[in-house]
Amino acid sequence: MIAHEIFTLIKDTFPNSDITITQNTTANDVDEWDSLGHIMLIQAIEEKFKIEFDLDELLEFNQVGDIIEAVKKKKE
Amino acid sequence: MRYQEITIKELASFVKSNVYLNSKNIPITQQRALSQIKNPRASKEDVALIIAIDKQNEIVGFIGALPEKIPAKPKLKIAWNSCWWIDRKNGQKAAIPLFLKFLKAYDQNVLFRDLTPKTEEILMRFNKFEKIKKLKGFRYFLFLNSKEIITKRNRIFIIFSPILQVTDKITNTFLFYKNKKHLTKKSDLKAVKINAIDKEAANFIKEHQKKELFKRGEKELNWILKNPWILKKTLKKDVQFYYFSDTSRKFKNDIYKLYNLENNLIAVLFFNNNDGLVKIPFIYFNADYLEEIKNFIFTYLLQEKANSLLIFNPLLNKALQDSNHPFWYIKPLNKDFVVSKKLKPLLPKEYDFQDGEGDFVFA
Repeated sequence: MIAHEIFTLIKDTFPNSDITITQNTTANDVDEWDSLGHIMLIQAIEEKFKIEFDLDELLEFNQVGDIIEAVKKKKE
Repeated sequence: MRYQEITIKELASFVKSNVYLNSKNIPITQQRALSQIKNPRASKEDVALIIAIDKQNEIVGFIGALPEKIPAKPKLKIAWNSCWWIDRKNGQKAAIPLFLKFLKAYDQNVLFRDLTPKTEEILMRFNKFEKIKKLKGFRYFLFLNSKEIITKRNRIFIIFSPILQVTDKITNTFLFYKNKKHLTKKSDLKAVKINAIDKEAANFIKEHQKKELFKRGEKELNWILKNPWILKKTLKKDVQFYYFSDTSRKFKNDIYKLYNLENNLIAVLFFNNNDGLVKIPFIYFNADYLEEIKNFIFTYLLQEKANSLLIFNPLLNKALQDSNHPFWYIKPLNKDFVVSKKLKPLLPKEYDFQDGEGDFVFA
């Protein structure tokens, strides 16, 4: 499932965070989620799902759910 | 967190706004704003600055753009990244949105130079950027300035200032006499200082910049000359803080035309002296006179009481290092230029850069 895989990627990118990742999780909720971490996460997601986000899509990512929806749309 | 884009035409009112005047950290100085407004390569609607404002109405992050044009493609809107800052405590989450908004404002047609290691890592990992050029440069140390260097590194050494000043003076006197024959070699060229690029200089520059990508000419060089980003430091205590270059004890730009014995113009040099560090952001010259130009540069360094010289021009560097030289230390320095993968295919296959491309000339 796409959501589950993305949650796993987030946990892998921010391993020291003990927060439970949900669709509503934002970068503000995860201490480690800084600029470099964000880029690494996006890169990991693009590699995992063999997709590439465009700029407008990246700007729309306010919470994890937005990322999941964007990936689902691309995989359709 | 909210974000605000400020265009060139909005800069003047922005620096008078409450958000700006009440913020502890300012995203642009008044002189930078004024300079940006007069950029001959910017349109009024170009985004100059994007700021992140927190719930307390405090500026916690910003990213700056310096609009640019490639003369061969005048309709293409591009920009250099001129700064990117976030408050470590309250602005961490603004870094990427600011960056993405900057990319969007210029449709990804952006360039970066003089990257910090962190910015470079972000750009390279983002996978939408590529390094296009590396300028190989050298910083040539002519005289000692240990008082400034050491006390800047750690304020605790200020108590040693008098001793360091004396050491510098003694060492520099020795260095001057040791290198006197290089430093005071008479140049056969006639040097004329000009207050602005005139028609003769402009035509000469045009002839000698055919392979350049950005071809900054009369309008641009005069704009840079008359609208510096760095002003002389005043004693007034600043209540607002700006994280990038804004003041210096000594900052000046000088333009010289050099003529040979037949009174032909053979070089135009744009010098920049920031507190004893001299750069030549723009230089146009007839390479037959490299040796004489080098001697004139030494004359200028002495005249300006410069401590060091920073050069990326390969011909000049070869000349400076070829024969016996007066420098006690030469430090290599490389500068990478990074462009978006979107912009790269729009650039010609081969082109030259001057040292001062982007905002380098301003700081």
